[in-house]
Amino acid sequence: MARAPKKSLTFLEVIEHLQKFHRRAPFLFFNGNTFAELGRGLSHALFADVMAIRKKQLASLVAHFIAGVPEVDKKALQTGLEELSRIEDLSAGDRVTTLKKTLSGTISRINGDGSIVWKCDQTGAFITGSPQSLLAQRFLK
Amino acid sequence: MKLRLDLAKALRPGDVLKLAEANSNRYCAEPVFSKTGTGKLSPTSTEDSARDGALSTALIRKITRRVKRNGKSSKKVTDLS
Repeated sequence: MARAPKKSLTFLEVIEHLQKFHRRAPFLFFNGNTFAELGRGLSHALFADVMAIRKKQLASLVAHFIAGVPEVDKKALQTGLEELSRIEDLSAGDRVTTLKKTLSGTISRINGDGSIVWKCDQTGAFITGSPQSLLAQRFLK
Repeated sequence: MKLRLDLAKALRPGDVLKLAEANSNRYCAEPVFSKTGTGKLSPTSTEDSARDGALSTALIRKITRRVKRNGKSSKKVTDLS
């Protein structure tokens, strides 16, 4: 039997395929965990360098889309993936806040390894963190 | 952001099988999605969340080791040739 030629797929296409497979239901039982967990496993591997909280959100978003949860449609998935995986384009002097928006401050410098040193408004301390742990000023209310 | 395609390539069916078995309780056993067009995924409990975090960390550690090991073995082959 002739094999189909290899084709590169985007991550979004892979996720959409997995959702279609789940909907076709090739097994009598447990189609959801088979295909949604495939997406979750891929997401864990691809986003291994993202901080834990976002990694969890990314995997959860992917799993909800594949499982066919109505609130997570293609647009929501795409927006969510872009937002969650985006690295802020930050530079010294930018105003930032933590993900839970409990602390805010100003970036004093960006280290060579990509970590960010910022001065916290609330405590006055200099904090070093990853770019994924901060949100840029436009998310501040 | 650096996407870890190297880790994604090293992912094996057995790794996903473990995740699928661990999270079975959150999915419908029957193919509801194909019948109704609306799927379901139960919200995570605190236990689920903790287990998920541990599984994720273990999976990443495991496939990172696998990638390093494969890198070393392919280097050996290159060195020999």
